[in-house]
Amino acid sequence: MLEAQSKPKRSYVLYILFIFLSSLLILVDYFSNKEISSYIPKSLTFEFNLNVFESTYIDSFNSLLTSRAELVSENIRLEQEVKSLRSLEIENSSLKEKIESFENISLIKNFNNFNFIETSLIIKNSSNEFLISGGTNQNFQNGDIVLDDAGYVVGYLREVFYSYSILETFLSQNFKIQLLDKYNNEYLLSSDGNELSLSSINILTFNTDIDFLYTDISYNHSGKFPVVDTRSINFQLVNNQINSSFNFSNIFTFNTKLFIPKSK
Amino acid sequence: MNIIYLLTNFIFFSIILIVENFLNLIVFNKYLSISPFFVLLFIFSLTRFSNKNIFPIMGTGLIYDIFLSENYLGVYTIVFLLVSVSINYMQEKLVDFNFKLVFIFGLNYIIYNIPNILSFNFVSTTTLSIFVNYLLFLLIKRVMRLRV
Repeated sequence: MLEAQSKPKRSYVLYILFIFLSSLLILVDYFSNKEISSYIPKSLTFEFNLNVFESTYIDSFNSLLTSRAELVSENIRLEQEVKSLRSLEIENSSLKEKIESFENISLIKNFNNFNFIETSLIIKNSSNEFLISGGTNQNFQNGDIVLDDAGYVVGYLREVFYSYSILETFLSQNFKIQLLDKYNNEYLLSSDGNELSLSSINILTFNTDIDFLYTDISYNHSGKFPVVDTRSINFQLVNNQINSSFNFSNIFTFNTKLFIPKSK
Repeated sequence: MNIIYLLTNFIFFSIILIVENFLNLIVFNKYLSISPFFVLLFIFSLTRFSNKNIFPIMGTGLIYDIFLSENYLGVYTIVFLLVSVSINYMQEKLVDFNFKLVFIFGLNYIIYNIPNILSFNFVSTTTLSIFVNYLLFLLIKRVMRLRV
């Protein structure tokens, strides 16, 4: 009887000891400024290098089997490719014109100055943060902004490891970003996980036709990318201060394409 | 044999934890969080509670802290171990009443989500998630014919 009663207690002792051991780990990690917890993800790569046969061997093998008939058919194929390349060249020039016309209406004046590195969501953790592919292996840095396929900012990189990064979005309660409007008024946008709150930091000239709040290089962002469309929210200037709260409706989904702009 | 048991459990726990995070990415709802890992922890703590489970649980917690979150090393290890002990302790010590299992499940789900307790919509998220995850537990219980 006594043995049966004391059995669970003994089981718990080891559990409690390991809980204390884990709290020691927290202390060590805290005083080492997260050096321990970030050591493995910063050095570990999830990319696999596959050994591919050198194409020269295959080419030399193929050359033995090449006959005259094959050469003729190859010639015809090449002719067709040249034709398709010409049509592609025409399409390319029309697309270039389109890009120039988009640049005229966009906040970004020259897309050629940016490399847009495509990334994708891997998983979402319990703190509503997202793990995205790519890290220091793709030259990502802490604070890099992340855009959706419509060009709007959806968040920024909070922590960058070797082959993946942690993305902070509007859904996270730690989200905070400094923004500008076209009159160079400064704002702070923060989230509590449910609502976004906008507060002014420095108002120089206030006008109602702000339209967009965007990121800026003065806050170490890579350029002017829109974050909030102010035409859909109400805010007023009271005592030279702007304070407003609003819901975010257009949040991305798991299959949204994400891009990280890096200036060349 | 013991090492194989520990390793198998550790790999199984880790896979379920990664599946949990991946599922939540697909579901993509800020009011709902599906937690198969918590359900697994609940089942293990009720039916197979032993010291042998410490290493798999601790290892999974460390995996979560290192790779899947930006917390300090050991935060989720404590949470997982605490949840495991708490579930078993409540099941052993609490007097029997009609909704004892639901009560234990709900209370421990809150402990499981302690790192996010400051979140604005914690109450609404947790309430809905407890309901959905309890249904998941009932489904697994019926499929596996568990007696808890």
